[in-house]
Amino acid sequence: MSNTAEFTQLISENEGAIFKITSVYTDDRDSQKDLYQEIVLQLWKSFDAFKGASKRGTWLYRVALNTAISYLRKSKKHKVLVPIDQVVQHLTEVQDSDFEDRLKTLYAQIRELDSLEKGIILLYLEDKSYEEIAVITGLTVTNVATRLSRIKNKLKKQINPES
Amino acid sequence: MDLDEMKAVWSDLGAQLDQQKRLNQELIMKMTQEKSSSRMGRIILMEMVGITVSLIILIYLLLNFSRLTDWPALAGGTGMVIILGIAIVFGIRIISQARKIDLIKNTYSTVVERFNEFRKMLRFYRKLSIWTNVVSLFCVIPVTYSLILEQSILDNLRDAGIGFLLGAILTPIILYLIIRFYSKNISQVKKALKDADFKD
Repeated sequence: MSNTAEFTQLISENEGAIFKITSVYTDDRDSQKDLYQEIVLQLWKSFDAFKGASKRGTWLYRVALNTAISYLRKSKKHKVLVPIDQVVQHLTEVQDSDFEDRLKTLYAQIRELDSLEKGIILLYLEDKSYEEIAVITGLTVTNVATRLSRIKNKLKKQINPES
Repeated sequence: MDLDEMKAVWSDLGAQLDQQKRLNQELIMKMTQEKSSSRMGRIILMEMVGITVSLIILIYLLLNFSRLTDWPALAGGTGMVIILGIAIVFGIRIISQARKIDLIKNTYSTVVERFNEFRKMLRFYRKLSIWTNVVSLFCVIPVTYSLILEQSILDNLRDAGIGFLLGAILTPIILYLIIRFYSKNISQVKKALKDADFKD
């Protein structure tokens, strides 16, 4: 299989994952499109060098998250807070209103986290193990566990501010 | 919403996204084109440098042609004008052919066809440049004596002999480097095109 065909297949297989990463780190469709392109470009640039140096999924998430975090840092200066309704609207062609409400709650909660916490919760939601999260983020397993516990508390406080 | 519920929503979102398949291949094609054109760009840049240098020498030579007085300098000067003219024409043809190779605007088969024409042209150019380099060795020395040193080669046959000897040593090295440059870049473009053969 040619390099490009191999890369296309990889992107197709992980399209949803990349899309979800971009949705967590951006607030509007244009920024999401920009970030999506930036992530695919960064993956393409490092694709030749990658060639099995680590697990594909690990490499892909690492590049995507690093790109997203640096994108967020760059765009923070010009940040305009978009209402959560619009954020969810640009995510997916949601048909189910109940699902849409749950999605709005989910994004509203994730939005309150900092960039690294967003990455950790995203990987957690993607069903990655603590070990995998540690490899992708460059943290230790203990650190991942501690941070996840903090995130859980943060999320709890968002639901019950008095707890 | 607790983490388990978040996980469930996230998983549902993933399933919906899988059905939607938003990415198109155009983005990847654009990147492949960038990769091949950056390699082709090196050839174009090299040709542009070659054309500019040839043009400067040609203009200088034509402006000073009247200063070529003895027969070796006149013959050498005429030879150089012809060789530089050929080099400029071929350089322009190579650039124009290289610019036609575009994966976005054309189908894959058209790109391959144009690339093959380009390679054929380069192969001919390579053969021609071997001969022109040998001939130009005999042209450059009398002209250099006449225009730069303002002497006749006929009065300095011994020094000119050393010049020819040096030229005879340097010419194959220069030729080897030029041929290697083209072969390397052509094989890289070929690889980039092979990588793109998933789509027509």
